[in-house]
Amino acid sequence: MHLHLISQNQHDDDPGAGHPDDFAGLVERHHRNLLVYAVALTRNHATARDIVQESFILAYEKRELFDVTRDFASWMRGIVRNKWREWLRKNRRYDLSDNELALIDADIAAWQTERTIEDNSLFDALEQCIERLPETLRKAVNAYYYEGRNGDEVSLALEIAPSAVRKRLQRARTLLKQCLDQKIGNSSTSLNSQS
Amino acid sequence: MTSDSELDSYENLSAGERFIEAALSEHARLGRDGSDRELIHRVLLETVNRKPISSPPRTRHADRNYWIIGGISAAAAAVAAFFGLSSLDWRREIRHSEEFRFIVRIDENIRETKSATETVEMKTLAERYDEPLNIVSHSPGYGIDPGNFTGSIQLIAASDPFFAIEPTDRSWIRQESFRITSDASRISNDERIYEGRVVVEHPLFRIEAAKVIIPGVGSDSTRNQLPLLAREVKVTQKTLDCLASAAELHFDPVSGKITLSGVDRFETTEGTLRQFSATDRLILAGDHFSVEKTDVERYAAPPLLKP
Repeated sequence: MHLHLISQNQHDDDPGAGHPDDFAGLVERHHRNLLVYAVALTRNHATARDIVQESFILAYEKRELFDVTRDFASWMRGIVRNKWREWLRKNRRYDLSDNELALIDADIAAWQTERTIEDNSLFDALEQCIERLPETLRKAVNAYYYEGRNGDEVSLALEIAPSAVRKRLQRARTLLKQCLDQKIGNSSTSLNSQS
Repeated sequence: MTSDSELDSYENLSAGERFIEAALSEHARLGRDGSDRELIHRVLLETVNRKPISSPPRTRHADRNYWIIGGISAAAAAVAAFFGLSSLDWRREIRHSEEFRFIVRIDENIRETKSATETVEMKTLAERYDEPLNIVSHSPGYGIDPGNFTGSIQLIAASDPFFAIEPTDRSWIRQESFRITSDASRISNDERIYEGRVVVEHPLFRIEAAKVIIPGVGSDSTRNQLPLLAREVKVTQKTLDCLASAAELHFDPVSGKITLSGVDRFETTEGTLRQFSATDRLILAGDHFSVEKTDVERYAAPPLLKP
């Protein structure tokens, strides 16, 4: 089903054909998920943005090599992955196992497919899932991720121990992963989140 | 008790958690439907909107033709030109860009009198995710008396939420966020040095410079260590709607003021000021500017010159 739909959208997602504005549209459409992917790989926002930027530029340079039977998002993830590996080699940073990489790749791929089919973005679903979190966990997520506080500051704000903050964030991430998996019916990654 | 670095660490997260962590932090930064406008702009600038580097423009296709029609020397020249041009292209494409934040901390007893200011600052921090550049916007000064400042200034990489970014003693009172983009950067003696078409973007001003020096990330510095120093600069300040060019620029995160020395030119909507002496300093604050003489001139001792 996914391949069929991608084939239907083939013209829209072909960077090698059409007006340059088409490429701008592809950048607009895909950059958010690619950023999430790159942040998951690198753990660093600045590096992730650099990698995504370089990947788009390389894709543009090599657009004539793009196989139109393939999914543009998948092609871009491959470029991001290669750029990330280059960065790992240069910086000797913590690497992911092949299995971990495959799981992250599957998560992003699932959401890119979901957007194609249902026009349901990862961030839409994430907001819905955050709303469903128990209040204590939601407060921890808001303070840590959305207000930009660090662990000690969250601890002070919520008047709980830093270890409790850590546990709440862990629990929240696990519940959010389960919620997102349910929304997308991603059984393989659900199994992973349970482990 | 769990340390903060462990809490902020990714090392113990599963792939699923890492994915959620990345999604949360990007969602926080961009919002549900928001786009990373700056990233898109940079990509388009280097792809579909890229301008020819030299005139007349020379394409890679033309280089390939040299291989076919030329002799060995022509081919070698073409290859050299090709690789030379390509490497130039590539350096331009990967312009280095980083986002930083100065954290100004003051002594606890002084901070007590600044609670209202801190409230405003916290609110601004929470809103930073609405900003395309992820920068904190505020007016200079914030009621801090720069002359009596007795705290310290820390520089952090603002764009990395996994960095232990805030001081744990909560004594910070003021932040100044900015982005530096340059052709090249290096670290030398605990300083970061940016060179080649350096651009510093701040909510209130934009600096173009040949060279910018900032302290190493994570390092504490005193005010006298010139937290941000730029050379051969052009600065535009939005609130004053002015443009200045000078030999040297110093940005003070405590007061939020810019000090320019070796001023060549200063333009505002009201007119142009050109008559600067070598020792004059131009001070750009958020809502006004002033020209000051150096202390040496101001307090030179005329009585000693009397017979």
